[in-house]
Amino acid sequence: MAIGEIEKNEEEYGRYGTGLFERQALEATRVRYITPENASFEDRDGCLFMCEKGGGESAKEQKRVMLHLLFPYSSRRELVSVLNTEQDEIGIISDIGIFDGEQQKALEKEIARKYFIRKIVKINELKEKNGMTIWKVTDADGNRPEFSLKDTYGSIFRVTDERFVITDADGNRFEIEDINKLDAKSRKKIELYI
Amino acid sequence: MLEITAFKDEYAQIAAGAGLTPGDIKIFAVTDLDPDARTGVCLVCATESGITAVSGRWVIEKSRDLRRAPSRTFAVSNAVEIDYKNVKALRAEEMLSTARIIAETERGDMAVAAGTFSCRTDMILFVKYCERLMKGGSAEGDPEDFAPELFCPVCGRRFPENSKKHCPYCSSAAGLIGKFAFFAKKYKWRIALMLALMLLVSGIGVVSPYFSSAFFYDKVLTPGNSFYGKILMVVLIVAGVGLLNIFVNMIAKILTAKTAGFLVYDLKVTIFEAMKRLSLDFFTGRQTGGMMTQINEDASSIHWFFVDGLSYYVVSISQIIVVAVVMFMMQPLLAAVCVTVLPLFFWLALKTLRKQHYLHFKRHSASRKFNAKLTDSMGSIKVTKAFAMEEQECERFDTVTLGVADAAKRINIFRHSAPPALHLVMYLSTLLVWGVGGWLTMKGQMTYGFFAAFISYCGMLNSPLFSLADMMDSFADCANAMRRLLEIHDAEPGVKESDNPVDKDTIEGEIEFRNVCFSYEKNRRIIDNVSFKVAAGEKLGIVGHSGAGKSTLANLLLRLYDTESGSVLIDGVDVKDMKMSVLRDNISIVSQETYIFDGTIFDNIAYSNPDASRSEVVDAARKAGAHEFIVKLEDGYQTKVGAGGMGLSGGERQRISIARAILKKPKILVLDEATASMDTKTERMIQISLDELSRGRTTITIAHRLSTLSGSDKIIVIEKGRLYEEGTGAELLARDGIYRRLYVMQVAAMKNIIEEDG
Repeated sequence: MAIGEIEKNEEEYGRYGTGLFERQALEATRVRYITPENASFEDRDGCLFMCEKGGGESAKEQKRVMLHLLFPYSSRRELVSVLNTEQDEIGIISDIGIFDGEQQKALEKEIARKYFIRKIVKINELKEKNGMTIWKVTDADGNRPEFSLKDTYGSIFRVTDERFVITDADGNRFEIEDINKLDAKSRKKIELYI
Repeated sequence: MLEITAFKDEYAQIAAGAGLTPGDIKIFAVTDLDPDARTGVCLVCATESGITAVSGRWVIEKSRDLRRAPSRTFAVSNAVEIDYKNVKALRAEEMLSTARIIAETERGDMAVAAGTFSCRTDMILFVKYCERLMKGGSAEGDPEDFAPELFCPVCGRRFPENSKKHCPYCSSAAGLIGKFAFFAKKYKWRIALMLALMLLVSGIGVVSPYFSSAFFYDKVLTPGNSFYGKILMVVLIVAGVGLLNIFVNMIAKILTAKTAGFLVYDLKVTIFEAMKRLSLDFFTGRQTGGMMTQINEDASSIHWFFVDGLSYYVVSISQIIVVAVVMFMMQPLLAAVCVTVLPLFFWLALKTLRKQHYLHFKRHSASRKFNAKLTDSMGSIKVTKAFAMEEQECERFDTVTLGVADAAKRINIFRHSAPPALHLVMYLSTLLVWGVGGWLTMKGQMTYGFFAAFISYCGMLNSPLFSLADMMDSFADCANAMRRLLEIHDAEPGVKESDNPVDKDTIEGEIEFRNVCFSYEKNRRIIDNVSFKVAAGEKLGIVGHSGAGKSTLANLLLRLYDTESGSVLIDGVDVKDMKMSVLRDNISIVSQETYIFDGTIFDNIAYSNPDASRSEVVDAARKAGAHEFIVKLEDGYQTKVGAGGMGLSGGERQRISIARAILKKPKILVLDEATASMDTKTERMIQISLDELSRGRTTITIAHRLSTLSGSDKIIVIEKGRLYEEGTGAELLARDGIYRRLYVMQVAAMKNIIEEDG
């Protein structure tokens, strides 16, 4: 059965009616899982494409899809929502590990592209200016990006006691994976805002 | 070459690797990621025939031969080359915190380049000009994209927001003292008198020990002097000096208290005005509790420092200077011994001050969280009780309370441990003076009276230094508080009135949205290229699912936010160029979210027009269907509502807010789900009032219930931020589109209810 195809359940339809409204409402309440049995993925030209198995001819076409992690701070592999280019959900992958090696790699690549985040390993300078804070940091790749936060307290999201995600004034994201692993000077600087 | 990013020599080397010379490149941009989101440098070049993007990283290779400089090569990680013939369209696609240039080809989408949001504008511009080039146009930049005023003159970066001309990295911030001087300027004479009196207090304080020790022992008690035996006179002089000191001190303190009160009042008013000046984006996402802490606690810290601390500081510092000068004049050697430890004292004091500054910052942070939690808990008490989550809430509250207690504990421990260390340093100086002074007296180089006077001066030098050490904590607290408050004052509003705004007495009410794009957050486009026009006096209905972006259109019309691109025009004038007061005086909004201010019902209705007479207010309430419930209240229109007042139901609050809008007599009326929270009877009744109110006015009605839109001249359907359908209700119903589907769904839902009830 193709993704999104609602299993005929006469009893359920009987209970809620068989009109368009009911059908759409029922569809919206169902979780549709994407599995190797009903879809395959391919990474091509820096984009992710999905091909549905089963269903009509049109479903067999490769379609550009996007991924959205349902719990981005907890798992980058589990409960991954697959969206079309209109950002409508096609279905959910329970764990990308259920797909074979190549497809897994394709999914991982797309997740890495979407959830790009710089990991801060050192805070070189943090100063306040005109109601903003200006940060000069070193990331895990050795780059030394500089960014500003409009509302410092509101821009730092505490994921766990140790882990923080910072969103700068431009919308760029930075992560401190473990605040305890920062050097004492860096820790002292950020401690004021968390 | 159109340089969206400035072309540097090093880029020529990378381009050469891809077979391009600067002459081949028509449009040039640089981003900071490759299409697979690996950090580095990515050159995006549009040539006469296609696009070439080269990504990679600079690699520095050190030579074994130390005499040779390290070489720098570019390691390519990704290269894309695509001919215009194979590109159907080009677009900039935004992800969570990155953007990509996507080429639509026969084979599907293809990622050409990627970059963080710092490069987002450059990528959008690249797409714009490259599309123009692909269609045979020129690669010349438009002035609105490349005018020099769009770039920071210091660092060359493009200003983050075109309308703001403000570079967060280069804007200079005046020092704390400089900023405070701006507030204090108004009271300069009062402050000058205050300082003069404080200096007089210090001066008098310095004279006292001379009469009570050196003069008393050496001139009054030593035979052969002209003042010998005149004890009463000396006692009277010392008492007179003491009394004068007390009197002057009292005047100085009263003056300080008054000035501090005025200064802090000015500061609060200025900060509140600054907050009103700031646009909605400043407040969105900020915790209300946190803001309350800032205004209340910070202003209070500043007040008490000025009342209690400032006079101590001025008196102490001037006393230190005067006493040191007197001591050097009396006995340079002993004075030098006494001040030897001063550098150590000041070094330690500076360290202490920094630590206290840090601790107060932390306390503020904890207190902010505590206030935010308190506000949150109070607001959610109903839900907490409904879900029986009291215990969990108490635990959460306990955590933040513990944070405040811990921060306060650390401050107190430091407050009581740091000053004694500083005191100890100064005791050291006294001991040294005792030793050296005693030796000099024994040798007969000083009289006993002189030595006793010097010891008194030593005490007089130590005493203000001890005061400074003790007061450092409140100084750190005040400096912290002042810095935070002044930051609100300095914050740049997201929506600013233009320098020469268009001022009009009245407007006709014609509205046009022209290619409007908008996002609240950088990575979530809420309005995507929306265009429509409403003639003056016309009624427009906006329909769409929840979250489609309907209310955002109203926010943009009111200029609560500025469009990202495109324009909103009223009578052909861009709202960005229109005087804010003209805009807001002529537009009234009735939304689902109502707010009742603390005051009477009369005050709340007259809020939109404070000059309205009582009968006008009653008339507006009658039209809004509010009069019906107001007359039943004991105090009628003078019933107190809002905080501490009578509670009103959702429908009643809504009717008051409609009356508020009616009283304003606007040219443009926006009804944003205005009757959504009302029962059917009330809705029908108010609908009639609203129809009456909207007669002759441009009216925009936003609703998801199609029945609310009956009577609209035109309806637009918004879905996912885009305009999907436009036309009259009948025209839209005839098409097989979203409007029709909504209609069918709503009719089906009604049919079900009727059938079930039947």
